[in-house]
Amino acid sequence: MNASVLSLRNIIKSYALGDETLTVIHNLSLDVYRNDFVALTGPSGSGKSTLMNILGCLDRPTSGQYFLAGKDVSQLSQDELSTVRNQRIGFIFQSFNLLPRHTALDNVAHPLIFRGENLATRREVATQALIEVGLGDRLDHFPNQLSGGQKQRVAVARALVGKPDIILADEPTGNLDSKTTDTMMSLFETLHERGHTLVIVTHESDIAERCKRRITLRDGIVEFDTRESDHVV
Amino acid sequence: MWFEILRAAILAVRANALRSVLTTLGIIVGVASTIAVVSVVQGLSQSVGSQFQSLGSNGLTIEAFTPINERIQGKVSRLTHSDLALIRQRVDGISDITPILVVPGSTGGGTRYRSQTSMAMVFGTNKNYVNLDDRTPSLGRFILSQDDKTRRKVAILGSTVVTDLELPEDPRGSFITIANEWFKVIGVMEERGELMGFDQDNVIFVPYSAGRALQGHQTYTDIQIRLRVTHIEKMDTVRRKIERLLRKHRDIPEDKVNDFKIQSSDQLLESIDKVTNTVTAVLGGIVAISLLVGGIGIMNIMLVSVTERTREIGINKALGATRNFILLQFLAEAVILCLIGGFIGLGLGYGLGALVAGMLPGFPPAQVPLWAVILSLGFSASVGIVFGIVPAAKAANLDPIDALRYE
Repeated sequence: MNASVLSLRNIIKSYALGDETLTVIHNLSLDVYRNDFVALTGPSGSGKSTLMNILGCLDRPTSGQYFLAGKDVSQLSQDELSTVRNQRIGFIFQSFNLLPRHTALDNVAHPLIFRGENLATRREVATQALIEVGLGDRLDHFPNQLSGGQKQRVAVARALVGKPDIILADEPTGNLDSKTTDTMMSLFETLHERGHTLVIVTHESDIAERCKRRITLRDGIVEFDTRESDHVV
Repeated sequence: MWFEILRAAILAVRANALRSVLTTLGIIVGVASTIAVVSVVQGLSQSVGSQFQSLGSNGLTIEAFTPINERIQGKVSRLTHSDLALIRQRVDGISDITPILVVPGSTGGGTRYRSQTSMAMVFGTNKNYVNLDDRTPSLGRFILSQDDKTRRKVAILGSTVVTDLELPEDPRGSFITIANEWFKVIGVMEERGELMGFDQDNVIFVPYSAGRALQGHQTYTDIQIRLRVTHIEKMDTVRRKIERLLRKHRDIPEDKVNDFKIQSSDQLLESIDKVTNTVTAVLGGIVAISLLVGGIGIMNIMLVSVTERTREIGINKALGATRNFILLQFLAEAVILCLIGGFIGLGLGYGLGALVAGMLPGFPPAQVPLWAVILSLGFSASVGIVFGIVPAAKAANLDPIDALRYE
């Protein structure tokens, strides 16, 4: 078994709704290992978005511990979390979330600004990442000049550029047609083969099918956690 | 990092070029009016200053002065011929001294040539005047001591008088009447233009003695005495000496203030400076309010801009931007907007000032002092910081999850 990249211990997340407290994640513990290829599924209201935000260091758990690459990040300040996101996590969103006024190259290079890299280095690394996802000929295109699939590949390149410990994709194919979805999944499979750790949040079962590990949430707890190897087809 | 913040800010300003310019309109108007007003007033002050400079720093002017409480009682103090004679006799270290006598009633049209009348002020003075006021005739000659001694009825005219009386271009040898006495024109003074609304060319100079004669030798005619000390170091000594002498001569008791004023040209300059500076400050203050209004406009648009770009801010945060980065980026944007407005306003204001100064006849050219440029740009930048901080803080404090979800 590989070393664990992230591990959640007794995570509870609750929100105050007026006088009531709504608990979305109930005492959840979970490990994701290096080179895991995880599909996180579950019906709406199951808490997968909340879990995704905690995994992505966009949100802090109410209680419990979250170790990312061995470091407890559950109680860090907003700015410390920004730095963790920048250095350890690659995000891919359903709606791409590219900066509209930046070219593909500048979009991919963007996270490196917050690392203090100089322009030349940023461009060089970003160009590499774009070539890796097959967009070496689209460097100077703006997001509105790209198709949905191309936009999402730019987003993948942006997630890869910082050499993160983990890539988090939130419904990455939600805005794509079935053919592009297929291409995108192939790209994810390639990344998995190259040793990246991926967590994909999805509600589409055929997407989940192509992942090596499937975690299903229900009412804030892990209902199923299955691996390809021990899954009987 | 700073470079990145600036780059991001400039990019954002450029992306909404038209809106950016419209946003800064308030600042543009504010700075433009400040600069226009200051440039005109400063231009005026400079020209006045340079004219007073010609009096020289070693010059003194003695004038009669009536304290306000005595004026209420109807007393009017005068400086007379005997005061002049006394100073001439008893004070050392004076190189040039001249009385200046304003012939009463001369501005009432008492000067005539054929059927034309002139409102010119008639001064009785002597040959030293040219040195003291640094002013020479462009045609003919000025008063000689001989003219004064023999009470010769000669006159040197300012250029406005020549025009008003419809005298020939070279009026030398013509005869004009001043208070029904014939005077021969012997010269024309070089042109000087206006000084604070007073036409310095609408004047006539006659020998002091002839001027006194025009008034029927009243003993108590009020005169002004202008003099120049030989050495600037002796200025204070001469001044004190004159003061002591005049007090004694005029029987002023110990506990009373002087009924005359001794002013150096530096002091005159200072008091004029004080006036123009006050005018500058007051007008500047009024237009500074418009900068404030401009700042509120900037804040308003920046708040809209933050809302509009909520998602962009969310992306930046998700990718690792710290709160400081976002804060500084929006602050830089506000400052850049204000500075753009400042620069446009500067150009516009200078143009406006030059236009106003150019359109008013006899008005000195507009001057934009460096401090006004620095002040207005500095003020614009401060407006950007002050009014940018609220929107910038709002942007920096956005929650990344909410911001990413924002449609």
